[in-house]
Amino acid sequence: MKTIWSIFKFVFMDNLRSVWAIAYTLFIALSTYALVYFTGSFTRGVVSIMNIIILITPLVSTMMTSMYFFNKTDFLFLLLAQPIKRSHTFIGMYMGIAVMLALSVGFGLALGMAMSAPRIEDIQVLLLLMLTGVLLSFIFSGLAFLIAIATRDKLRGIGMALSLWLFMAVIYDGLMLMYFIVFSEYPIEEHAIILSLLNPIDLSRIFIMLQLDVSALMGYSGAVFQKFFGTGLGVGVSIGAMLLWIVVPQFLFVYRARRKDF
Amino acid sequence: MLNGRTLEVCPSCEFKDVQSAYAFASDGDVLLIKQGVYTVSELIVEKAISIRGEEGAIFDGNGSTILYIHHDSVSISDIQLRNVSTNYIEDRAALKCNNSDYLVIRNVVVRHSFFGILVEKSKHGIIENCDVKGDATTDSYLESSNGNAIHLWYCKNMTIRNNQIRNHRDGIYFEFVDKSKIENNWSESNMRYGLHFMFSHENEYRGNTFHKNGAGVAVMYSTKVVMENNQFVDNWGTSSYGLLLKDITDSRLSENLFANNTIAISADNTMRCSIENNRFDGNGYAFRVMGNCTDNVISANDFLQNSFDVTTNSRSNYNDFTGNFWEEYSGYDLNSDGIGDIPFRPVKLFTYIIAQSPASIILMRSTFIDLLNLAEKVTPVLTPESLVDIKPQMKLINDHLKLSF
Repeated sequence: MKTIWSIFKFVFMDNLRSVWAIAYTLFIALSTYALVYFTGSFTRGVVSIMNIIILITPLVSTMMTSMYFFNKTDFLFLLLAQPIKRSHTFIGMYMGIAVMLALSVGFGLALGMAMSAPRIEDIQVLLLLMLTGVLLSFIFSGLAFLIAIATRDKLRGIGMALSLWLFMAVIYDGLMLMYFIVFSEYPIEEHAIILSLLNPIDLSRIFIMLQLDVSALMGYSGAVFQKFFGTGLGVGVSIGAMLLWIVVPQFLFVYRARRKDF
Repeated sequence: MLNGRTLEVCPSCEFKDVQSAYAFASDGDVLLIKQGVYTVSELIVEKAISIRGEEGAIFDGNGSTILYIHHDSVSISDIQLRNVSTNYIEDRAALKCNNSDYLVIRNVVVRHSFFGILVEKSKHGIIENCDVKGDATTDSYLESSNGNAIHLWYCKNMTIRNNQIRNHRDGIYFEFVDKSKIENNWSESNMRYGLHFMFSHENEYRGNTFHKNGAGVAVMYSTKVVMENNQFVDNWGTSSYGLLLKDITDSRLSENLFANNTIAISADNTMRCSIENNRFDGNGYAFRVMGNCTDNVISANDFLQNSFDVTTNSRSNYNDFTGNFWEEYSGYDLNSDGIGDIPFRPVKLFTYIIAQSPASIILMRSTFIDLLNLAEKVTPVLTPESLVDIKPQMKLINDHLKLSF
């Protein structure tokens, strides 16, 4: 445990000292502030902030994690030569990056919100945005870590991470839509819920959408979704799914790293 | 003009009950009801008298209709009417008026009543400052067990104003009512429609609020209707409309506020109507227009924070959507004349997809859907190409329309 902590501390401080962490935080803070300020209306602002959170956060998390991993191979080899458990080494490194990324998002959003002085009733949505931003940072950082360990060369690793992001953020929804249209004659609301549980980006989007577009969700399908995602059970299952997205890749990359010949 | 006597009714007065006072009264007399609860059931009023209550005067119907009014120039004021039970054979009402021209109903409170005020075949009447509250809730499922609060049938030149209407089947119901004015009423929590009219022409609706009604407001088969300065708010549910227009022609809707309705306006077979200077704020669908609507002008409205601004089921469009403010508009205005230089297409492809496969609403606001909408906007294939605002406004037009509560 102590080794994880010291590796975590080193990686975290290493990232904290670099320019990009500050740049990323400032970018999120400024865009949050600017979007609320310039759009004038809260709903429209939240939609744009949501797009930043569910698109940019996973992208930055995957890219930063891949880059850090591949740029720090020397440091990694040095650690691997020490009498430290491999699982400790990798979990420490992962946590160092992921916590940094999550803090950047959380702190950036909080700063942006504080600057734009939201109304009390908007804070709930903003906290939800923060939560999804933090969870998505952990998830995509972990996935990128897994890809980086599973591949040998830098270019392929970054390419795969980028493809994964594209798949989750855009292509997955296209496939879902195709499925809905092909099976539109059938009651597929439950399928829709299961399919969206499988994609953390979709889950984040749905939770924020439920806050914004309640009135459009009044049809039968909408009612089914609200009944699931609006109740304690649905929220629990969704958060469970997100946590699985964090935990499972960690197990996988630890498993992979144990067997890998570096 | 008749100079009537005043006949006082109270337990210690000359007239102990309303029936004996009425029997003694002649045209022009005033029945002044002192404080107390009087059982009045099915009293038939066939003289031009006034019935006025002092504070605390209550007529209890004990289940049956309280007053049948069958004469012109009858006035009922300052009285509470209560306990008229549901009946499936006759339409029982607290006040049931038939062939009563120049009727005045003022400051009347109605509680626990099947129908509230039911007026048939009457002209030039006024119903004002009344407070009608029934026992229905929007959760009640049996529509037939509750009557309408103010129900008019075959009337003309009526005025209905400043009334509070709650918890009935329909708040205000008109059938074959012409040239009437409905002003400053508050209709809330009715199980079906806050306002419902059919075959009622040349009526004017001003300053009314329709709030949290089970299915909103429905107006059907009418022509030359004017609706101004009304508020349609929180009409919420699977089959709820702010305003359902069906077979409405040559009408005018202006300065109305539609906020937080599932569907703010749904127009079906509606023609030659002008919908101008309204504000649509925070609705699921702001304006749903069916393919059979033609020659309507939708102009100078504000569309704000709606999930969908305009939807249609048709590939063609015969309505004019010029000169509105669309919050989603992202064009520019180079010559600063307040009109966007790029036309705006308010119909999104996604609404078509939802119509085809309702489950796909779960993809709302997804990046993939945004891309599809964008592609459709650039080259319309499925959405009507002529449904376009060629002069989208850059600034809010009706900022003065705000919720009054």
